[in-house]
Amino acid sequence: MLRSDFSEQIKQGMDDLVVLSQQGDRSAFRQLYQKYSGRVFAICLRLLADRSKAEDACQDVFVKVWQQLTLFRGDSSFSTWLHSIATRTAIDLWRQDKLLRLATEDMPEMAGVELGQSRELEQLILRLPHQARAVFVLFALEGYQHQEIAELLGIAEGSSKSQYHRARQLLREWLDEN
Amino acid sequence: MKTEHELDALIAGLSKEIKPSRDLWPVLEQRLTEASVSTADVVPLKPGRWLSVPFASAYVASAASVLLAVTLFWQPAQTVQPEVFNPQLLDAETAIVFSFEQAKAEQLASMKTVDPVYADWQQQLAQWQQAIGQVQLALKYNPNEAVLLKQLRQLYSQQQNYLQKVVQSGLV
Repeated sequence: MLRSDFSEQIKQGMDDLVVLSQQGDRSAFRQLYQKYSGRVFAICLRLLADRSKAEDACQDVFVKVWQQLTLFRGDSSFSTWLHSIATRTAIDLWRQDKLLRLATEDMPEMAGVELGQSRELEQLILRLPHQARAVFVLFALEGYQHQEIAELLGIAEGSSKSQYHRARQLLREWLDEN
Repeated sequence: MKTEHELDALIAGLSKEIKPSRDLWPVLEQRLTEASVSTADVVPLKPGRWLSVPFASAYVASAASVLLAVTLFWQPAQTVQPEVFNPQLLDAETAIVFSFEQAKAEQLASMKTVDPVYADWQQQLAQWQQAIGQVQLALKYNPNEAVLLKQLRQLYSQQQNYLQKVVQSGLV
C-alpha cells in the first residue's frame, strides 16, 4: 500500500472537525472547543483548584492544540491526544503554583451530573493538599498509573502511592464529617 | 467513616466534564489569531530572486504608493451597512471586556436580594472597576501587552467570582 493511501485512510478515520481544523478552519475548531472544553476544564480545575487559573489553563490548552494540530497524525484518537496536552499543560501550571491553599470559591455549574454527594466530593477534592490532590486526580479520575504520575510530577513512585492513600483517607474523613 | 467501597462508588459517579462559568471562546479566538500571527512571523523565508532585498524594497515602495493613492482618492460608498457585532473581529482587550461585562450583566440581572454580609458589594465592585480602569489605561500605551491582558482577565475574574457569591447569598 502506498504511504499516501495509508495516510488518506488514517485521515478518513479522523473526525471531520479535526481535519477541517488542521486546514485552518476556525469554525470547525470552535466546534471542537465546544465539544471538548468541559473535559479540558475539568482536568484543569481539579488539578489547579482555582477557577480563574483553570480558565486561563483551558485557553492555553486550546491555543497549544491549535498550534500543534498539523502535527497530529491520527495515530491515537484526537481526544487522547488532547487529553495528554491538557494534562501536561495543567501540570506545568500546577508545578508553578506551589502554595498550599484551600479552595473557598463556589463550584462552577456541573455538566450532566446530579448534585449532592458528587458535588460535595468535588469540593472536597479541591480542598486536598496540593500534591495529594494532583496524585488523586491523575490516578483516580484520569487513569494514570503511579509510575506515570511519578514521572509527570517529578516525585518518587512510592510518594505517589502514599499521597494517593493520604488523599483517600482525608476524603473519607471529610465526607463523614459533612 | 465512609468505607473504601462507598468512596469508590462516589468517585465513579463524578462527571468527566465541568463547564467553565463563562464562554471562553471570544478571548480564545483572539489568542488563536495572535498565535497564528506570531507563528507566521518566525517562518523562515527561503532566499530567492523574488524575495531578495532590492526586489522586496521595490515591492514595498510600489505597495506604499498604491496604498497612498487609494487613501487619497478613494471615496467610501454612501450606503452605510448596519453595524453587526462580531466578537471574532475584536481585539484582545475588547474581547475580554465584552466577555466579562456580558457575564456581569447576566449576574446583576439575576440578583434578587443580598445577604447583609455583602451590604457594601457595590463599593467592592467599584474598587475592582477602578483597578480594571487602571489596567485599561496602561493598555492604551501598550496595546496587546500580554501581562496587562492577563491582569485584566484576572481582575475581571475576581470581580466575577465575588459577584457570584453576592448573587448566591440572596438565593439561600
